[in-house]
Amino acid sequence: MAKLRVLVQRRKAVRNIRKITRTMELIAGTRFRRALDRAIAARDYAYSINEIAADLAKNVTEVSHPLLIQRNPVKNSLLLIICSNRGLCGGYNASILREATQHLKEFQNDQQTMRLDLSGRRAINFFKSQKVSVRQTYTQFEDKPTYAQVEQLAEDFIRMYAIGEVDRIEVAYMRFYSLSRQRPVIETLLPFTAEEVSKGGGTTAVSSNATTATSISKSPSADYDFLPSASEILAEIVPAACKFKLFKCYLDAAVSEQIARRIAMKAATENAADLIKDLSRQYNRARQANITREISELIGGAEALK
Amino acid sequence: MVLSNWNLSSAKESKIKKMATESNMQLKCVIVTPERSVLDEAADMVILPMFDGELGVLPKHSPLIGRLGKGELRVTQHNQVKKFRIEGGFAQIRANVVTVLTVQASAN
Repeated sequence: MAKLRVLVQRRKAVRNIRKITRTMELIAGTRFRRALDRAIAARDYAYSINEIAADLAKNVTEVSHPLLIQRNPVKNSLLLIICSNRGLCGGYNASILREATQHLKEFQNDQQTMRLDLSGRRAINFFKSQKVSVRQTYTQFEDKPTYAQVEQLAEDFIRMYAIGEVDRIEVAYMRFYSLSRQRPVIETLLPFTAEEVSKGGGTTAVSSNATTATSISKSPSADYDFLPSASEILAEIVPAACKFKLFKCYLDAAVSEQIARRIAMKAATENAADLIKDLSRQYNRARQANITREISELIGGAEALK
Repeated sequence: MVLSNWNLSSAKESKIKKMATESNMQLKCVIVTPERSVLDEAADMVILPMFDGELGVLPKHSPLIGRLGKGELRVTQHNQVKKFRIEGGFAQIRANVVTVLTVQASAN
């Protein structure tokens, strides 16, 4: 009898867990859709900034900007790792951290100093347990990173780069390629490359379609007037493109996180269902064995009374 | 010789025709921020707050790329004016399309 009760309790517990994981799956699903909408909305901006920069590049003979200059040798660099604040999203955080630590090791071999900026509680806890010193931590980025938040961060980075505190700034995050493909990547945020300016701060899978579609309709003879001047606009557009690139990293990370969480929770729900089936079978078997035993005891008792 | 002349005049004619249809064309005003598209509609006139003062844009404006300042952007359509507060950014005018890139654009 004791075994029966344990089985019933376990089954109840698993049922509750399934309810929770199922709800989390649904929540992740809606959050994912919202995050994807934001990523798609950012596509228009990406396309426009890309077009302006491309037209500018045609009119400026020499593209030069402090943020575009590659520094050699690179002595100090900064790595921003974008993880999530919350867990229960499968291998999402682990794969980013694996990529980042591998990158860090390569740097330690090169005898360069690499400082760390961490975004997301998961990354902070990981490096705390590794006892690695960290420059800055951020936990304000949830599933809806706002441009104003990211801009602050980007301005800080640009300032650090401009005064020569760091020679390179990189970002490790989960890049969103498609629904079924997200990969942890490490991208260089600064120095910005001239091609990236005309690419509008890196295009993702979402934006590339729009770019090709509209570049065909572009009229070849656009003879622009510039206010105030092409080079001055360029000086403004490089930081804007850089900030936008970081924003895009955060948008991608948000989308990827929700996808990872949805998949993890879906798997957990399915596991729970399997477990319930197993437990039910065990319970029924035990119950049946109990009944059989009781009957045979009864018969045995009746036989003995004869 | 005669043939080429005829060709030329027909080319001119088509150009004039094209210009005529273009002058009937309306402006299109597109305002985008990194977070969303704020506006994408036709307009009779757009007044942009440039870094050094306001710039009125009517249909058939010459292509232009300019830096925006802080100020009010006004989009006029059928005597109705829509106003937006803009915090810097860029504007591009090409083929009767005014594209405004800005970080912050709020209707007021």
